[in-house]
Amino acid sequence: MNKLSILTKGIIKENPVLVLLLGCCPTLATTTGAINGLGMGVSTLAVLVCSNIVISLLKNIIPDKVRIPCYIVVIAGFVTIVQLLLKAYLPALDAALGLFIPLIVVNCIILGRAEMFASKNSVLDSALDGLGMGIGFTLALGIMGLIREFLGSGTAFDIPIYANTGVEPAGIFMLAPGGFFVFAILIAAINYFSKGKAIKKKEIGCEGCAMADSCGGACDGKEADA
Amino acid sequence: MTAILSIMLAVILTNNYVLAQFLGICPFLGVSKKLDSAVGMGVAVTFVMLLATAVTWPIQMYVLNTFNIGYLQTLVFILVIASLVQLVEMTLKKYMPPLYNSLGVFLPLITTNCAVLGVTIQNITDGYNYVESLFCAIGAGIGFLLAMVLFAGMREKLENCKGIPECFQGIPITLISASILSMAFMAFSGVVDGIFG
Amino acid sequence: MKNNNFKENFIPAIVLVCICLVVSLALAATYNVANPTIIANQQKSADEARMEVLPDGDSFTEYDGKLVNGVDDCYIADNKAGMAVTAEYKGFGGAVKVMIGIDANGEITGVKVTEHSETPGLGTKAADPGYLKQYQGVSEATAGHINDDPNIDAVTGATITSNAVYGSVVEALAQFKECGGVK
Repeated sequence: MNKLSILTKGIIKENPVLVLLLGCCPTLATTTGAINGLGMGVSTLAVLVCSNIVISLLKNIIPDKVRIPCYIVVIAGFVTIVQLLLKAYLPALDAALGLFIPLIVVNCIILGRAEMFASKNSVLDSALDGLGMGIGFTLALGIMGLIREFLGSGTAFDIPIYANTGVEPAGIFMLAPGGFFVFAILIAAINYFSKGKAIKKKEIGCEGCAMADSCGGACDGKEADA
Repeated sequence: MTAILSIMLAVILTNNYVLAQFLGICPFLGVSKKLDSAVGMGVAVTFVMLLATAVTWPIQMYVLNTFNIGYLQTLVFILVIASLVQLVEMTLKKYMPPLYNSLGVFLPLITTNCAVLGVTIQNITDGYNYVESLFCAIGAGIGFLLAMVLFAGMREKLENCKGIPECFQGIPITLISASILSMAFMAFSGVVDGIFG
Repeated sequence: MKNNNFKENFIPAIVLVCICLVVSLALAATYNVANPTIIANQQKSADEARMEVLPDGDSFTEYDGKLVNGVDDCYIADNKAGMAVTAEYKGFGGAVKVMIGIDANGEITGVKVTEHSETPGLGTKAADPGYLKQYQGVSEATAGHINDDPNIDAVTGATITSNAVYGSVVEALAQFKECGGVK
């Protein structure tokens, strides 16, 4: 695999959110606006690139037995650094994302990439992989956020589009049901335009989950696939 | 007493972790295909949430706050949860094999369940005391269990559904059902304050 | 055998502990760099929020006397232009938190909803700055319910939220009396 394809595969072909369906929680929770979505995406990207680099560097030192706890510690460290920096320099974004910043720790994309890519590949490749996956994640969240913000509050990037024209925005798109709905429509659209080829998985299951080894088919999705 | 009841009802109904706050979506979508596995996952999550809160709250108050190292919160909490899950798994395997066989398989998945880390952090940010935190954790777990069970019921019906457009089959239609279920839960807003206000 | 045991059990533990230590040290360093900015930010954004409801204020000091029931905090402007009171009252989806600016004459200079969980589209209209403008200049509000006060209008379809804002204003004005004006 050449360097360019490592970088680009995360953006389109293996987009973590829209194709691999990983990290659903932040995708749904933080996309009430395009800026929030992009902010969450970039924070995750920073953690993903840093943790991929460090884990790739340490891959020969970390004993197999304790690899998951080690990965979690490294990831949690970077998450806290991002959290502190956001609090200090972008307090508005930190307030908007709130709980979901510390929850980057348990985002399956990050642990998943550590386990499946960074622990087996060179530092440069791991960094590129993290960058690509991060960009893909950011793009997906930005698009979701833009759609929900446009429909739900009549603005785009906080700039009013039709908010003051007398057309009432459908506020429900900013709420939980709207999040599920927009995500469903996005995936259906990808299915439609790729004629069902892009998303091979028909269910959200263990595939791509870092815990897949230890859970050993507890997931119903995996049983169905097999 | 009313405070505790209203906290519990709020996290079960109005602020349901899955349907209103988007925490724990992965297991919600992944393990809700069959009713019995949905119940197993829900019970296991409730148990771990309670245990995790019981341990992390004192750590935050008496260790992190005392030594002014609150910034280690995320790191410490996730490590505590990961080790607790491991401990529970080993204990169950050794002393209660039947229970292990029904719940044990879900335990490794729980470490990365954001609802567990979410409830422990939120108890601290919301300033609940120890008892309130414990009940909030139980409530959050019950809310998760409730959402899982309801959703599993919906999905068993969906399985026999004919005429879903091809591009909506599988995940999209599942998400749309989740959207409708979450809309139904929105009707609870105001109920809790109506009862206790 | 012994050597094997050591290798299998202790090395992983030592590596894990080392990683924990390194990460903790890195965090401590970041915290020391970022913390002064974080504190300054919090101070600044709190003062800015208070200046939104009390434009003539500059910096604020917390009032340390008795607080009226329902009032969360009360800050007095250092230049004695007035005070900014945060009060809360039960709304439809939970408590509605409102910040109210009152000038030295006891007249309201601004009202802002800072925290609520009301229904978007309906209840949120009662948090709209355009609607809240009607409170400006008001110095007397004592009715038990917004519908009983002829001077203040409620949002149609969102009476409970409107009343939550009104209730907070009543509390804030009572707090002004409690403080005995701006001193």
